[in-house]
Amino acid sequence: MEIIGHKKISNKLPILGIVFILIVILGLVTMEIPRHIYRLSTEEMLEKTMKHDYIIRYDKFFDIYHNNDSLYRFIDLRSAKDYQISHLEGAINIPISKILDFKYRDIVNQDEKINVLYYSDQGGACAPWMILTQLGYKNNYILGGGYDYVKNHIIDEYSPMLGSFLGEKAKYDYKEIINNTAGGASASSASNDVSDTPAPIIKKKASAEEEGGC
Amino acid sequence: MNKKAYFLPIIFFALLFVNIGCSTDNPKNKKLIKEPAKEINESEALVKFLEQSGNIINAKRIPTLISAEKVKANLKNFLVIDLRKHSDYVAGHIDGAVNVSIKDLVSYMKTKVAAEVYDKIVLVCYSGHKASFAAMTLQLLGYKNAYAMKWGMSSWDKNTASTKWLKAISDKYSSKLEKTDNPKGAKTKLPEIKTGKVLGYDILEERAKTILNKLDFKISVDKLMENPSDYYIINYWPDYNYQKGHLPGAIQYDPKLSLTADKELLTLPTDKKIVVYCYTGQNASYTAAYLQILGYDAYTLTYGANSFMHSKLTSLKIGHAFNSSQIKNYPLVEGELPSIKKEGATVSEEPEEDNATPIIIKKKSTAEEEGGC
Repeated sequence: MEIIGHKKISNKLPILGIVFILIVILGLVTMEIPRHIYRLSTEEMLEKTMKHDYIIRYDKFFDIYHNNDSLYRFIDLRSAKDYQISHLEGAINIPISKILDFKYRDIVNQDEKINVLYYSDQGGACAPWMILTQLGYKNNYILGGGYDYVKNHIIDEYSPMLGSFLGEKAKYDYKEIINNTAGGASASSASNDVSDTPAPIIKKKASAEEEGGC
Repeated sequence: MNKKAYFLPIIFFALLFVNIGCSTDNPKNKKLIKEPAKEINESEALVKFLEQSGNIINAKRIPTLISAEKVKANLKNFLVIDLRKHSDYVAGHIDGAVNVSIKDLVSYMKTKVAAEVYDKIVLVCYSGHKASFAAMTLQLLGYKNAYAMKWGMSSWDKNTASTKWLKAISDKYSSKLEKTDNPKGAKTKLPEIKTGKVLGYDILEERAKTILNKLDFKISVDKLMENPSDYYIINYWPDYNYQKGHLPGAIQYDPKLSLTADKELLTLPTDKKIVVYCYTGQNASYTAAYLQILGYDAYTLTYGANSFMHSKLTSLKIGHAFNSSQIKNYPLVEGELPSIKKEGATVSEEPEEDNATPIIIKKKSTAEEEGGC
């Protein structure tokens, strides 16, 4: 009996083995392999972020744009609609929501061209840049100031100093306020009108309100 | 049978792993691109940059001169930068003006001013020359709201006018004017510049700092007339005014048209001093700044035609003659610091020792009066 039983088990072993392996294979096949794996640790990412060398400044942009430098490629992260209205010459449109699509992988990770990512403002391109960089994708940079700044202050009319590079426009010159309240010497100052008539006596208004204290 | 049964799945299993290994992309295979070092001709790169970045030398708004009246009426929205000596600033300045040395101007603008906040940034000097020279430099650097106050403080303050513009106007070379058309020079190369930079803007910034530090751009008519043949004299007027009479040997260049590489810029000599003259010396200062940035040995004829054919500017209907109506004699504010607007200013309780005509508003110096914590 024992011998017969042993034979029965040994006969079934290959089948069991095949079934086991098939289950494993089925599991592997149906398993979702993560497409995107972060290759950089958070510390490495922080180090990269601190360097600030991933931003293409307006002077460099000007050079690339006017010389049609083929080493660089612009990637427009805005919506297809915004892209249609206007975009940088030669730019590819990859809306942010599709930046991780498989079909764009070879564009955002490659070693032939330097990608310059841009959004309406500079901040909009930062998050996609961080994701791509942490995935280990190489040769991606951000357009400093973003599209609106570059369009208005570099391409249409060259006035880089008058647009805000960071997408915000200061409403007041705070240095002036600090200067005036603290009496500093070097800060800039805009001034109100002086009295039109050169009257011999100009009375100082007494209320502290006008002087802008705390 | 048994061997086959084991063998096949194992092969399949191995292949699957190989397949998985291939399907996960490995970005580490890609290499970082380093931009190859470029060898550039700095002069050409700079001219190209300047002409592509708005071609400011020929822009409609140049020269960006603004009258004292407009400055006074808009002080609230303007930043006034006083480029005069500190002692003169302390003695009396436009209310709210800040005193900056022209040598520090580029770094001051870059680090201490939110330029876009102001409608205009108005540079002020004694006669308008230095302010024009600096305004053009700022314009080229991208501050399109940089202006120079026309006639300088001579238009604001009577005392300055009497030592500067009123003293300078003259007709001393009126009789020596000629009407012949003098030919332009043959085309030559651009002057050589060496800043060690690669990008157009960086080269420009270096050049801007250099010329503002050197600050050698003025020549008087007397010095010029001592030996006119030593200079390449540019008459920067429209042709119809050139025909009315110009300095001997002067060559006409059309304002807002001629000084680009594809027009007549290359006709300027690189081995000779260039003197640009206009009606008042202010537009010429804009032009000289541009030419100096490009590396030319260029100068402004101070006070322009006003310094040698003042009355003819009116009689020949050329215009731009300085006269007393331009002296507004507006109030000045005395003190070390930028004044704190009208509320912070009060009239000096002790009258000035000298009998200065302008009304000096003395700012109180105590911190209390300036507000704040």
